[in-house]
Amino acid sequence: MADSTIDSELIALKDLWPGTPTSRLGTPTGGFTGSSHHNVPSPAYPVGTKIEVYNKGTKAGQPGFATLMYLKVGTQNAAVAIAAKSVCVCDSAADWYKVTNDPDDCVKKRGMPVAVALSTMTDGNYGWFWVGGVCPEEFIANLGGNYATDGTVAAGPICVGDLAADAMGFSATVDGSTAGTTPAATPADWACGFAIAADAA
Amino acid sequence: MPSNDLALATRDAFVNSIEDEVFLEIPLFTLLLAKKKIIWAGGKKVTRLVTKDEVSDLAQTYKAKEGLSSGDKDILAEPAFGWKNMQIPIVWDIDTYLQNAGDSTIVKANLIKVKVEAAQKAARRKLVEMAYATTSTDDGADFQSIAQALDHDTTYGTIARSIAAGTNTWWQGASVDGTYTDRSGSITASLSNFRRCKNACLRHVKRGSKLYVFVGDALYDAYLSVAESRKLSTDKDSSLLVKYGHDAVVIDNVEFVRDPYLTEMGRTTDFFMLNPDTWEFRINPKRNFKMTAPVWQGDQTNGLDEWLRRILVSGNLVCWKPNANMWRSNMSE
Repeated sequence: MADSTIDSELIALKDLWPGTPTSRLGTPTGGFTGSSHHNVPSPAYPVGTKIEVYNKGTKAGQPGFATLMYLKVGTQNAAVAIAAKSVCVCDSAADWYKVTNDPDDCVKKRGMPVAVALSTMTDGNYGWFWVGGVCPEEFIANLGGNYATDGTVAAGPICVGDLAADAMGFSATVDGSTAGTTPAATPADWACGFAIAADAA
Repeated sequence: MPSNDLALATRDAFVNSIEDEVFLEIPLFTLLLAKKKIIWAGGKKVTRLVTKDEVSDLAQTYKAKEGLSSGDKDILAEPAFGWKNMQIPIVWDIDTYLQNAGDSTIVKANLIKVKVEAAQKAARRKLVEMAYATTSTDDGADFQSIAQALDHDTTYGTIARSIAAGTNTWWQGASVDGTYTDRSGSITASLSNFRRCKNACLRHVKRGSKLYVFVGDALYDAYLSVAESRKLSTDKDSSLLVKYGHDAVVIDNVEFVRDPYLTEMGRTTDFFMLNPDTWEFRINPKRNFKMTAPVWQGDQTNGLDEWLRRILVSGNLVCWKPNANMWRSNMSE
């Protein structure tokens, strides 16, 4: 099927990453994309730090909680660089906290926890990623808008899938790696979120 | 060739005062303060009695043998407004605490003092932001806005307004054409339109009430030109000096105020004609820009080595007479 899109207000992510948000941390200085801690070569927060925020939904997005996590970029896709809304999964077979947007050089797509990038990032740099809950558009405006899908997303669970374009996006949870087939009898794929409506396809 | 020794041996000339790049005047707040319309008081809600009707239709003319009628009317209403809360956090961490200590040879500015002053200014700025917000319904959290008071056909202070149903027309914001549907209608910034707005606002108030118009740069300059073009020059000075221009506009005893906030926010078509005597900025004395003491955040496991203080404000901006004020959101030059 051809790639499609789904609006940020129609999806919510399930946080499958280890750790719980720490209530003692406020929003980082200058927001989540502040230059003192986001896309920096040395970690300003312990890797794996999670912050939970409440997206009020009065200015942008849906109301609800969202979780952001401090991770490291491994080696991103040379052809399609990481940008806001890039869907990333684990990159390294040695370090769980390194992520990449390269569908051809990652640990696995389906069943993996998802980390959505907030902005462009440099390889090896640390920064914040959206990993759970509703889309925190009131905190990071560039996260709002359309997310790429493989055209199979319907209301229900979603996971990370390989797109026709050289990138990863969202897909309906299905068995194996063939998009468009019916969900597996055994839940081999962990959903990384859910959609409340079908994608635009 | 610049000398390396010079670079090593000489400091930059540091200018020892902070230039505020983001300073914006907030004339609305200043006006309410000047008119002593900032009220420090408590109470369950902010309420007062208003008269909503008059009894001239009880009057009866009669002839000698006619019976005299009797009757009564409800003439009072009690609009009620809740308390709204706002806080601004001020945080500094261990790095700021340690590295920002010392005299002027080490420290260019007292960063903690700068943060506190910035937060105090931000509290006033945020109040003006909420005052100019365009949402017409009370979301329960934000201080209520001028738009909520003056927009037509919305509920304000628990009193519903509906022109279609003829409900509480006395409580509507002023309307030029009396339809109470013209708030967003297109209107040009002309003298005659200004006078129509002014007449609508002055219809139900005592003689001598002072009005102010709050607009952004574009509309301010438009009315400045209107006034200038009508002011004949009587300058008999025969000197070679040319002096021209004005920095204040009063038309028909209504003072125009250039509000930079409206320009910055792109509200170039908003026209607010306000009667400050009908507005109150209520602040609860328990939260009147109160700044809490700095509290260290590291006393519990996983706590952070930083300090937190907050500026707390509770209150609300209320209008007791919306029909003496007007908001037009679509005025063009």
